[in-house]
Amino acid sequence: MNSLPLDPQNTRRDFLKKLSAASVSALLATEPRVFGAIEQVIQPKATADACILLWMAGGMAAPDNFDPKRYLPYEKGRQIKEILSTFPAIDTAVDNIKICEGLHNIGGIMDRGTLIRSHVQPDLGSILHSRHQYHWHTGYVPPQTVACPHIGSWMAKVLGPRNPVMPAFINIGQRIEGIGESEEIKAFTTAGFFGAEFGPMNLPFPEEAAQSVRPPEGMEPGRFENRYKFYKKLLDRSPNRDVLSDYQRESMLRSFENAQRLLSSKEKDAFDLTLEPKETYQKYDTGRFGRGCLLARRLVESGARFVEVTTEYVPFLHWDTHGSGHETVERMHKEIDLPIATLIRDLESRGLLDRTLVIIASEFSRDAMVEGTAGSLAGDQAAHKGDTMEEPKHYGLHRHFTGGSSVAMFGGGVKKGFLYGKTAPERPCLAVENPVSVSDLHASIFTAMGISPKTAFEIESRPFYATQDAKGVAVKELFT
Amino acid sequence: MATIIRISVLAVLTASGLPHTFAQDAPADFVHKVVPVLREHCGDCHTGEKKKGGFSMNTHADWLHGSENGPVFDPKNPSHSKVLEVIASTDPDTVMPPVAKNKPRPSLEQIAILKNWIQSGAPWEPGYAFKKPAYQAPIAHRRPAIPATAQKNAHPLDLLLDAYFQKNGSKSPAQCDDATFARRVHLDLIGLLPEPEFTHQFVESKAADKRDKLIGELLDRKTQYTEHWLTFWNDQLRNDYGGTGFITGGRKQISAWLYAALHANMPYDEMVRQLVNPNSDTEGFAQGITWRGTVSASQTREIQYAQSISQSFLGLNLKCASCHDSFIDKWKLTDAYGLAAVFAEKPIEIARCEKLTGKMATASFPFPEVGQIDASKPRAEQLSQLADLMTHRENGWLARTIANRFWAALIGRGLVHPVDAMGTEPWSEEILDYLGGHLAENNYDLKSTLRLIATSRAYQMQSVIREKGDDTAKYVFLGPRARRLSAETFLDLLWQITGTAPSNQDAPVRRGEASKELLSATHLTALPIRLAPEPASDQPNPEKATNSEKLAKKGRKPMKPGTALVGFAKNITLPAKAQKISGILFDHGKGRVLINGVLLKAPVANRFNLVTELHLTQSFKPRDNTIMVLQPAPPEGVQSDPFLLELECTLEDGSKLRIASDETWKASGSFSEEQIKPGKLSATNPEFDNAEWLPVKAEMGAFASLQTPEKPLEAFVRSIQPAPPARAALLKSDLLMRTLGRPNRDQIVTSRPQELSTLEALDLSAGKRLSELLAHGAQTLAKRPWKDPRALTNWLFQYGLCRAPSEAEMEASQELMGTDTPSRQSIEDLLWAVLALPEFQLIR
Repeated sequence: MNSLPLDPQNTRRDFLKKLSAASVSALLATEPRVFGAIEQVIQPKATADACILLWMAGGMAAPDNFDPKRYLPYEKGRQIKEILSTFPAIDTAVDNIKICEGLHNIGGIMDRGTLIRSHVQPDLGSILHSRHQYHWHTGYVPPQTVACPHIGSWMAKVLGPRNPVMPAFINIGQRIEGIGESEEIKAFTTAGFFGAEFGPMNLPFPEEAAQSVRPPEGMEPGRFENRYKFYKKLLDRSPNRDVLSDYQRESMLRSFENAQRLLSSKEKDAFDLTLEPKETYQKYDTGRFGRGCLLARRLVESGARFVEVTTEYVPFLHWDTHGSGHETVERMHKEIDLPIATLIRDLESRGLLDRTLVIIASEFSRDAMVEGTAGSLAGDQAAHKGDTMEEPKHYGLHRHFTGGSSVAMFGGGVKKGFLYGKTAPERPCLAVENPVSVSDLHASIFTAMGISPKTAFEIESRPFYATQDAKGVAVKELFT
Repeated sequence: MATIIRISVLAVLTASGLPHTFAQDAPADFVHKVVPVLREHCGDCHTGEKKKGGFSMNTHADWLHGSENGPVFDPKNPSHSKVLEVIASTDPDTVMPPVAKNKPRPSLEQIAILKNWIQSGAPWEPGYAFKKPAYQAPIAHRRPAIPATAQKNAHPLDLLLDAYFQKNGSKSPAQCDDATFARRVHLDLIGLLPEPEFTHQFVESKAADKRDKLIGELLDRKTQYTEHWLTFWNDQLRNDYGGTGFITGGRKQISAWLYAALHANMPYDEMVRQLVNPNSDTEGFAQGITWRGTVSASQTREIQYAQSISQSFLGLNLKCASCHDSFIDKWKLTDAYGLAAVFAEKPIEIARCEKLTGKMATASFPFPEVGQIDASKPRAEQLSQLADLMTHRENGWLARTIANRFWAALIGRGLVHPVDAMGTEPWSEEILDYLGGHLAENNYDLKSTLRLIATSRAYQMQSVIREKGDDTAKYVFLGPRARRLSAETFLDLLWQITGTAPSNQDAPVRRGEASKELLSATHLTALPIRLAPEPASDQPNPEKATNSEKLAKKGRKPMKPGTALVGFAKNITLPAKAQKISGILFDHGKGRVLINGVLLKAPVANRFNLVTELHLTQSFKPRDNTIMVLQPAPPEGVQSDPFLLELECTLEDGSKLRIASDETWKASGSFSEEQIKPGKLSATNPEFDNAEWLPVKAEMGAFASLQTPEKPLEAFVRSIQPAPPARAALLKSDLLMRTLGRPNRDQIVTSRPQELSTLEALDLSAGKRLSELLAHGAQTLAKRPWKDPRALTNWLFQYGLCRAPSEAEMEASQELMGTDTPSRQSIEDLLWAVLALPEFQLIR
């Protein structure tokens, strides 16, 4: 795995040559061009070659996870305002970092990464998963006049895949059909104006991932191969082959060839979780998210550039706790704790962690009382609006909060055992030190990957930047 | 020739904050001294098409016009010109040229040259421009001179094209063969393939006008034409059946209106008029998408309106100018806000880059040459004025923009490219001007433009052989470009070839048209009926008591106002099981239908204007049934709205009978919303039997005053004839369509991807949805009586590629399929291979 090309420029050239002639083609009228005329962009030296985003979809409450505050257990009749955290704090591998009970395994790897406790998002008048997830994934607040690319598409576009056989951007765990707000999810799960070549390969069910790089269900590999051979024969024997042989045709055939190559490559095994030794598989097997972490590791080992693994956004499920928050988060801890820790340890033991940036993030945080940030107009979206807890389901952080959330980053050049930023000890628990905006966080991630936050492509004759209006500034303190 | 003016500078410049030690007594040599300085230090941002801060000095007029903040040069008092201030500024944030790392500041001498020039009145060499002035697209229509010819009935576009080739010194490329033409024109005009038999006859035909005739026939296939072009218009008007915004009611479809407009070939100016000055059917376009919460100043409903109408109808991009004066074209913030102000319900304040400016927007039209909005008038009148200006005879942009889009759709690249930059120079002004003028002169008949292009040699030439990178060079027309099938067309063709089109649809539109034969052989038997008001009577008559009196008599409370319903019912006994029951309800748009006490779901989905199509096969039982039509109860003493209902039942033995409203129906005013909730009411429910049933009145002329775009008989005939096969354009997008390039219609989309990506190829090769569709298709094909695999291969090539397979191809397919009856698997594999061929995927 370490033999993979590490120089993004070379990889990019390789990628262009081998894989994606269509992407450089001038066929597409609106093909965005690198916007060089505006200013010379100097790409930073990458500290990471691959990126795994572990997405806590639905709003992970910082005080119940990575930013423990005053803890009180459930007690009938207790004033909700007394409670800041519903989990007690526990020690981690780093002296000055405490996180919440339930995340013991992650606590054990905190010395491998950096914890940011001062990530902030805008309120946007109404704190909505749809708009905040769009904002976090594209860097732009919707609506926008052009279709914005996902950050994974930026990496696919600028860097290409690490291994030309592998898709550059793989999205694990999120269904985009048949669930609530699926249209809102589709709006950012896209390469936008970059075009489909840079879009995500969606693998909503990790255990079914192998199927997507296999012949269609019910088709024997022999028949599949035979079908492609027959196809090639038809191409060869076409009576007007010479008349029709042009660039459009060739690029189309190349895409089929690439697809066929992936389907018959050894890399396709990376998609197959049944090939993982039982012992390691079990450590990840806490649910779809856990198995997604395993899939992400296998894909990065085989040369994927950007992988997102999500706990899946479904309205009112998982991290979207508008009721029974404590109980739900307890379950979420069980789902994420061991797989995330195992992923970091596995990457480390394989010598990949240094060049793989792993990020744990969410669209916003939560609080038991405060919606939005102080003074915002956001509406109260909690299911139970009373002042006291009357039932266990009232115990939890049920309100959307954008004033301070946590982000953990591992590998890829970030400092080890480092804590950055902090939130107020009392409500509202706003970021009071070193606030990090979405733009600046993206700038940090892009910079680690060797992409300047000012990188721009031209769309509709204007520049469109990797971070909003090229304003993102990497937080240097996060990196060694 | 340089303009040299001798001046003396007597005083040290007042605006200067820089040391200035040498007074000048030298000529302001514009061309030799001033221009090089301006070019070196200002040219990057303010000449050519660049106008940072809205300021260009490309020409003398630009220089005098100034920036978005007003003039930079004061000819009356040059020493107080703004430009002097910024050149001399010591503030690194305001100084011009801006401080840049990799560029040295202008030298003191250079600054002195500029000051000297400005103070001397900034003389300009007449006609001098830094870069060739940007192309100025005309606004009014222009009539190009059609070259003279001895030819009879020569196609005007051919003549213009001949002149173009002559000028370029190139030869006119050859025409494509008949089979290629048949495939191309079918796919372009109706999005379906010609049947193999048709292609054969067409190729064999010796008729000289066969191509023109075919074009006419295809354009006349209203339903197929509509359902193909729906994709183009849905993209362009960002209309869809699901998507962002719908979840919170922040978005509205225009599907029913759009479908009907295309079906009736509504004149384009009328379409635009109704979209710009919207009514309840069309407002979804004007209103755009409303997201919950606060949005940026450049995405408010009004600004979206300005962006949408200018992009869709004028090919203008006001997106830059929605935030600040555009750096790349001439559009200004006030242009975007001028259009927005027309649509705004309240006065709006102009925001520049999200910061309010304190200036209020004034309603205006971006082409004052055509006319202007009277901003003092009320909103409704301004909208009407805007609709008039957009569709004004002098506004050639409107016609040229859509003509160019059609050209791009049929030829593969616009005369103006890209199609949303209509200020750009076309490769043939003459052809574009002609197309625009032709559309306007033909009463904006969109099909006339399609016909004009399709009948021209430009469309019928062999498609060009593309080379890598050929789009970066100057475009030279050498024939149409091959275009990729849209996602929707790809699915349509798969369904067409295999006969497996689904029967569902997501678009809330009424499809198809009544067959002419059936129309002339069918009559409606129903009569409009209504509940007659009870005649006023001086003496209380127990037989003629009002409903509320009757209810009171029975000891029941009168119902809450607004919840009372009047029901019209009839018991129907079917002599046998029904195979199909369908028909129409024609009323004032408020009626609902219950069969055996069960309310039909979502009649709204089928409702278009006043006629509701009813498909009731599943609702009726064998033998005894009750049908009821419910309307809101009219105020007491007022007669109810009339309605007409007619159904045709086809029984198992093939016999038909009608169910129709007439005097034998009964009415009752004693129903309520509460009662018709699911499970509350049934035919055997005592409430139903105990209702006070009154006679109804049949009135022949009851609908005389109602205007419907379609006559009830036509709707009736359409409901009883078999439904046309579904088309992908009428379905919500799915994963396969997304993969193949159907866009999220969150933004206006005016071009689809032309390349096939690796992920798409992966989905085509191994994706679940396509393999299911192929399996289903192969299963259907396997049931047909093929003589041998050769016959199947031959048929599939003729259908999908419009040509016979070569002997070599035939051999290959025989290797795959053997010589016996082809297996379902081998049909599936053959089908995949043919559908994956670039020859199939491209329209050549």
